[in-house]
Amino acid sequence: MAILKKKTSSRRSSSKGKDYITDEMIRSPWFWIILAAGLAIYFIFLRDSNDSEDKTKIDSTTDCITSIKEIEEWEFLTLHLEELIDTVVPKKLSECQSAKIFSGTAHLGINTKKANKSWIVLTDNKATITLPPIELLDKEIIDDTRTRTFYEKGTISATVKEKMYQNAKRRLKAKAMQKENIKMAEENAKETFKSLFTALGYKTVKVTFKK
Amino acid sequence: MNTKPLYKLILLLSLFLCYCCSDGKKKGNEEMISQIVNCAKLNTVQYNVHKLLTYEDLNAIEGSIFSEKISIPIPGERKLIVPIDATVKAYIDFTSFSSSNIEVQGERLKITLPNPQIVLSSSKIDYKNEKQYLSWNRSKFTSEEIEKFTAQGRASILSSMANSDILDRSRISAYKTLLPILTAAGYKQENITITFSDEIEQNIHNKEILQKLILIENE
Repeated sequence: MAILKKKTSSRRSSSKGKDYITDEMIRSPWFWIILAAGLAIYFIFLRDSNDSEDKTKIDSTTDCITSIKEIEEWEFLTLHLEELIDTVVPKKLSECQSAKIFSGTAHLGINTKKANKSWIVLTDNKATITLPPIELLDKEIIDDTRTRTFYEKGTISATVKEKMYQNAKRRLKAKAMQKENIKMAEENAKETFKSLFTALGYKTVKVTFKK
Repeated sequence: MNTKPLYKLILLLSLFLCYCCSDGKKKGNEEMISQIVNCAKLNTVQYNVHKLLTYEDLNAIEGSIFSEKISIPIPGERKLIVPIDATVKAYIDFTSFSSSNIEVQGERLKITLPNPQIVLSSSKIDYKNEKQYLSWNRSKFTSEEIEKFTAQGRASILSSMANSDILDRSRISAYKTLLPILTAAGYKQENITITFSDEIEQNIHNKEILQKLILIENE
């Protein structure tokens, strides 16, 4: 009888025609064991696991030099700074979150191209130098190749990444252009030009900044 | 056969898998560094560089069966392109500059400067044009992976710049910057000689630089 029942049930399933997975298979514990093991192997080993040997092929195009500029900048203070930027992007079912640490180097100094024509006045033994004000020598101060992701959940869009970058840049510039830093750069500039002109034989060297 | 414990096992396994595949990643605390360095550098040349970094993931499952090593490549493609814009500057470090670098013989003035050096002053990843090409069975590149690759790109930019003409241009630019200061100090242009440390040691670039300088001055 049991054999007859099995036969009738298999006939039913085959009469439906397209059922590759029958009810009997679903009821069988072995089906579930094999399925779970298969999924486990796929997710643990096949899906870009860290255990598999790293054979990443890294390549790059040749550097394309977009512009060359001759500059006359004297740098007197270098600040290596870092800034943590955290953002949350709400979505329909969940939210995306990202926290990145941006690294930047601010170069404080003067651009002698912005100096007056007579920024150096030399008399017998006296040198009078009027320097342009201390400024940030670069518009971009973040080295994005050194940015580190501290926390990330979900997929962060390019627009959000760009906003985070701009936010970090604004904060780093504000940090760099603090009064104390400008003062330190000015002091260092004075020392540098004094030692340069003293070495050239001038006994009195006066360095001031254009306001 | 009682299948209840088996279903529990499957449920636990599924939960474990979900945990393993979660995107969220936490790391330990990292220190925020802020460092101030007094310096005296003359920045002479600035190169703006654009670079495309490309990566292809060729990961394979490595193992051994009966002491025979086997390697099964993971099917599907996983590729990445990262465009980077970088600014590289050449500079001359005046931090240790002193009277020992200047030699005066009557009307003649000889200045010895340290060799120019290069620094990557800033870089920016073009996030909007960053592309990933993935097969259905391959996972997205994580931010950590991308950061690892871009760090290698940074090194690549600096090494290729070191082999470019940036250092020679820097020497010429330094001469052009210092010349007005030295002529203002009363020295005639033809009596001023500027040399660099490596030229004293190797005496290689002297002629080339002088020729370039003559050409520039004639222009």
